[in-house]
Amino acid sequence: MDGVGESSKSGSGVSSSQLMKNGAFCDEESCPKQVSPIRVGGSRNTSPLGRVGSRNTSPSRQKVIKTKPRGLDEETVATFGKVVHPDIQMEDNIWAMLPEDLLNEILARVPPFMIFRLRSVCKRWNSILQDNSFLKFHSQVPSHGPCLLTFWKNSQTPQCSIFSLPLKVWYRIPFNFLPQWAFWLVGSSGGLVCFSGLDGLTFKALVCNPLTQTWRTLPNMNYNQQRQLIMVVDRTDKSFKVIATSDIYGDKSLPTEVYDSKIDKWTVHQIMPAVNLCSSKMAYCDSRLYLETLSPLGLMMYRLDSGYWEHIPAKFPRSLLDGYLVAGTQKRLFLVGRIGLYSTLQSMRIWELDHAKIMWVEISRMPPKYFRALLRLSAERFECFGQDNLICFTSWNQGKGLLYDVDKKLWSWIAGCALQSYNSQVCFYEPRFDSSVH
Amino acid sequence: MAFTWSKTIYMGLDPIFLTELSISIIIFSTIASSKKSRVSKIKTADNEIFEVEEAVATMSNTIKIMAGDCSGGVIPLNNVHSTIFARVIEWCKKHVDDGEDLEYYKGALKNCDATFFEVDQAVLYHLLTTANSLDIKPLLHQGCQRFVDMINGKTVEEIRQLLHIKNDFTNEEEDETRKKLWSSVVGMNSFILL
Repeated sequence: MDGVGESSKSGSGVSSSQLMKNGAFCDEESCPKQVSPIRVGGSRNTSPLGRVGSRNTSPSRQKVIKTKPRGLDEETVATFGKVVHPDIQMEDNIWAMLPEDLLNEILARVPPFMIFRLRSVCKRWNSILQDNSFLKFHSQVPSHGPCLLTFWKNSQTPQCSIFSLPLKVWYRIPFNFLPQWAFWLVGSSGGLVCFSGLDGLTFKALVCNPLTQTWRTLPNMNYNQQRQLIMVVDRTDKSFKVIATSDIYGDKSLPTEVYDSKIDKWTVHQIMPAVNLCSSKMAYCDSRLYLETLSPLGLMMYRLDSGYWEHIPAKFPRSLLDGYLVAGTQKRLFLVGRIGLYSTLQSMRIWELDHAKIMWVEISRMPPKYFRALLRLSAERFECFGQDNLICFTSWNQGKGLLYDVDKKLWSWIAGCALQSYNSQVCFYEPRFDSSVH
Repeated sequence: MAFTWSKTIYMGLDPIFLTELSISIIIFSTIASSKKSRVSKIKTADNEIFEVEEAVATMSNTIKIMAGDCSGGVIPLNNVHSTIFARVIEWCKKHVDDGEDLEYYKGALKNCDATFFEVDQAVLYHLLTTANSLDIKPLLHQGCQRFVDMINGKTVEEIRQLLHIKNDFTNEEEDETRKKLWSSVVGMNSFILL
């Protein structure tokens, strides 16, 4: 979630041809995978007679057979038409008998990107998958799996790729709606993505929902300075907040500002107590913003509800390099960083903040072989960000990504084209249909 | 009472106290054992009777409601076969203590559950329909996830074939629908689990 860069830095010299990977690169026009020559051989006449809910009628005319009503008395139990035998039941036809409500349940678990593809299955599915009540049902499923969003600006054109972790596929998303000034990816939360940039001399921010292609520029801040932003979405409240903290030049007199979507205004909060240098490392969890200070190395916390800064006296590990703050689920806060500069025994470790004892507790270490594969040089830069107890490490030079699942204690690699651009910005993203930019 | 109390110190426990204690132990154990042994009797479509612990059986909302109506008798399930029901109960036993945690809603299935769903299509189909009719939400959720994983790698035509859906789009309409905002960039197998 590195949103800092020199303001005059233009897009990278990497041309789009470098971004082509080995696999097929589909345009919107021609997508060879989807065209099925099999259809030439005549469509399959598959609908068994008497099967209700035939799929080639328009939705208004279709009849629907429901399975046994749930939870009602035995007398009203509707039995299946067939007796279920323990043998393989004509496997060929088995899914043809899928009841309507079960189909809805299955489609509700389909990750959003696959929903677009499934719309071309048949007209009935096309209408189901665009139906508002279905989309609402779909949004109620807690999670379809996180995605990684990479963003980079190739001189003028913004390029965005999204890697869906459950589907294991990269998708290209058009971001043509982005205004020219949007340059830095602030981050993503609850289905919304936030960008910031300089429009002339004004520092602005906007939020968008890439799935529905809606977007909105936020009103200007009270103090016009290029700053660190972080966006958080409250899904229960259907609102979001953007917090603007210190600016990159270390202007200590700059107060913290918070944008609340419910009132559509920036409010000025407390000035952060004087510290020598702030880093860009921030994490938000449990209505508190944690910010790492560099000199001295420490932790500052900002309580959003009460609106004041507090110093957390947790001792940071000695000789820590590049400490990244990552917010986990609920109240968990992680610190990720390397220990041991110039040492051959350099290792990447993950700590968790124990809120009660106010200390960092080491919970995991990156296995040495992955560490060596990720960072060949000991002083090499890497990015680290996380969401929902998933921590991702990306190495710019090598275009690799390493994922760590805190709960399952599992390390896994992600490789793909989009990570190869050295100035692409990456963050976790959760595609949602129901996130509104307002 | 101080006098009697000092007496017990010399002569061991007061007999009245001992009796009271033993009575309460007996009562307690009967309550405890009766809770443990509360089983539901469930009869499947092929007339097989299952005896399942109540806590496990009532993971199904349908069974829970039917048990309330039957009050101790045998609960008939007229459209569930015993082989499928046995599997469902096996799953329920593993997850009876999950509570409302719903941790499995996030991400992939846990290992034990992943193997549970490595079954052939007919069984998967019946597991899904049974989970739906018995209203066992977590099992339904996992089964649906499994199905989604199954159709994930398939092209649209393959999905049509699997579900026996007739393609009712004309060529132009299909091009329209395909010329959507997103195009799928199918990369190499870019996610390797170690």
